[in-house]
Amino acid sequence: MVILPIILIVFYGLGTDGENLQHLKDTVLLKYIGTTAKLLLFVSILSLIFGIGSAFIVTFYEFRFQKTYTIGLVLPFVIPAYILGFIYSDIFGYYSYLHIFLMDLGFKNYFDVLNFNTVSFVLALALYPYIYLMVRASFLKNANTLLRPALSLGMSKEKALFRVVLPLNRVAIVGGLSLVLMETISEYGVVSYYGVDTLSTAVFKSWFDMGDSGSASYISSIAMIFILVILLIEKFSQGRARYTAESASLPFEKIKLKGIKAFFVHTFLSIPLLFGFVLPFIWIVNYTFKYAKERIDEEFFIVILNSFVASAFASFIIIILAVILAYTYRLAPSIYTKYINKFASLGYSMPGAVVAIGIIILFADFDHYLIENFGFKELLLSGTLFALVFGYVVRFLAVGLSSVLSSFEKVELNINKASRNLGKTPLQTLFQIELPLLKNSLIIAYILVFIDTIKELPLTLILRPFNYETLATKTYELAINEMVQESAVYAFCIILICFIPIIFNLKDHK
Amino acid sequence: MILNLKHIAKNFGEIEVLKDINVDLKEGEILTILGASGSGKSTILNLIAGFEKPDYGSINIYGKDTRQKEPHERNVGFVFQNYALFPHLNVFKNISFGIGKIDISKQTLQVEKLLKLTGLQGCEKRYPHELSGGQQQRVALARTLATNPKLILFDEAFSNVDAILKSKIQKELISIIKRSRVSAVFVTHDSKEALSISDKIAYLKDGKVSQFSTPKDIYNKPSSKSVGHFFGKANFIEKAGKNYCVRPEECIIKKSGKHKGLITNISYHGERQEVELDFKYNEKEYKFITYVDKNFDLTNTKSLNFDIIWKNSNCMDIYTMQP
Repeated sequence: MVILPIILIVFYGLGTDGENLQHLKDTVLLKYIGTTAKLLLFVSILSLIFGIGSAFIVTFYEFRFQKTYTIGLVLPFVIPAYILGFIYSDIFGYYSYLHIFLMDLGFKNYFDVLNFNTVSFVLALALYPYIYLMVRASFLKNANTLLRPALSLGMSKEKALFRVVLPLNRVAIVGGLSLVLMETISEYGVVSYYGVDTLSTAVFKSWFDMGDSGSASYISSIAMIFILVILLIEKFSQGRARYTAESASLPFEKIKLKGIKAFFVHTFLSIPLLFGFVLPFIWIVNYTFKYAKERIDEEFFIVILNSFVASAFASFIIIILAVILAYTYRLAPSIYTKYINKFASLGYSMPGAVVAIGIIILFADFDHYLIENFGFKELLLSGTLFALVFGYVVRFLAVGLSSVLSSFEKVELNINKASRNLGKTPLQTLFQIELPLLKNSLIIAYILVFIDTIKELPLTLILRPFNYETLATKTYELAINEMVQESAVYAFCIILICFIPIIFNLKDHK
Repeated sequence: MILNLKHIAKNFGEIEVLKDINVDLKEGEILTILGASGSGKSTILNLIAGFEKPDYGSINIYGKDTRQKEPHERNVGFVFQNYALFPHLNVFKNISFGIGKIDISKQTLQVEKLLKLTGLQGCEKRYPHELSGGQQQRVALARTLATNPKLILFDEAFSNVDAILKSKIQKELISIIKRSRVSAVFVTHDSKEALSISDKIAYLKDGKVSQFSTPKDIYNKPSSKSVGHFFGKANFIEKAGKNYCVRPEECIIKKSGKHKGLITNISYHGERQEVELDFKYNEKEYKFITYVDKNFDLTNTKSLNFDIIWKNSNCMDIYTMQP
């Protein structure tokens, strides 16, 4: 069921040959593909600079506020890219205080921030933490194991870091980068707001403006080719490299930085921290307080309730499915169960809009089948809350599944065997032993999935029932209707929820 | 017969882990499956317990074929290497876990009996992490005994135990097993452990049982040089068309000894000295290992005279190496 929408997309995409599609092919399709590729390139370069650079500096160098930066550099994660985009259009846009201030000073040239470069910068700021987190974890694990032999061969510490440690963490770098690229392809909020036409916006246009599911599928299939290439590159990079250390490294003796070098490091690290979190966060808090009275009304609570109902329900189903899949794999690990889990996770690598179109096609076919064969008078599944929840399940099952799989790994298999050996069936063992032991991990997995569903914009926009507003869609709608500052109230709620895992992580650190 | 393994074969992918395993165990006996790591010995336990299925062959437990039986239907006890106690349950609940169906008063009686048997009185409210390694092992054993199995499997039972306490815990465990009148299968890579606790030993090499016999037989009459070496220092020598396994303690150092060997190496082991000798017998050259008393002064000694205790029971066919 979970991969059916994806299969349908390919099926419909390949079989499409309508007028609309021909028109798209003749006019703008190549431009969309080109812009998407260019965006991927720009976002990659910027997020690699932010991600690897910051991970490298906080891991191997010692300077004032180094620990604060280490934690702080993760914080841009809590602000979804589309919210970041709205904020920067407000801060640097034509009617922004900054612009007016500059014009008062006699600055006459209008500087347009609503362009491709800002989109690249915003996406890099929002997404570089993927690279930062993975690369930093890899550095911490491998640093000493790899560094000591290099040092013993007479290399200087700095030379060894650049020539040995950095290249050998390739797997983590490619892993983080592929997540960044997938999110970039999936991104709809920022690109549409800034008027940058990518494959994701093309899917929306062909669906909402032309109502053409065939063209939408065709474009989705092209987006899937991009994803496939990314996945293959990631797989290729993993397959060839097995450089990770077997055990955790001993604490690494950091290089102390002072003077001009420390100044440059502070300048470099403060760019992602300041523009990715501090500035936008201040903006959001400021406008939340300013518009709280005006915006916190009945509708506000309905939106929150809508978001919670859809996300809570979807997360619950995801965790149940993840437990079933992970437990089956635990009891019978085989190539088949492994691939079932891989297929179930496919939705996460697909853009939200693509998954949504797949589900629309699936449910429309199903509804028509019911109407034609069983005399149903109206659509049963299309445009319902069920469709939205199903969409979240397809898209985010991977998040739940990977969390639950790694939680199961922490409980040794012999505990399960011991229970079955004492006469309990696999199901009794799951309920009496495994689930009580996994309780906390499952709660965390639930929260992670919940947050992803709360943040998801493109899929929600396409699949939500008529007039069903969630925090993400309401933030987006206010922003596109020239009420960016008012949208802060809703954005603030999303960010508060996104803070939860960061707080959990900090607790773990302590 | 409590346990009977017939022609068992098991592959993992393309790797042949077990090939034609034939082993049996009578009521009240202790069998040890011995082998180096990777020899497939833990796989045998997993097959008996039902966690794995054999690709070929049959496993009879308590006289019944187990092919269609799941692990929870076999009533075979299993004590895991790291004990696998349930960390969220206290000692009482761990022990009573498998007997949850019987009424609570009977459960309490049964658990109290087992706490007494295993010397764990007073620990029933403690959680696994509050117990010592030895206590955890006894809880694991009591938990297994609670379901009244006639056969218990032990996977590397003493590998987590401190070397100093090992012999004491071994004796305690064997005594509990014997008092409970159950049969047991131990898996270990420690030959001394196998010799001291078992009624029967199955020596596993490359997925096959190289020798299946009593501890005395396997020590004195190893079926091959590799079995001989696995169970301690061994010298092999040909005499009258037979190949003899001569253990170092069977070479007696004597001034009037019939044989003379040149010392090539001496190593001090605390309780004794180990001496390597080169010597000729029936025109053939041999390297022999023998033991010398720890106080015997070997300084400036270049050669030693010794006698060999020839035991007919130690001889094997010179070609087949079979007893």
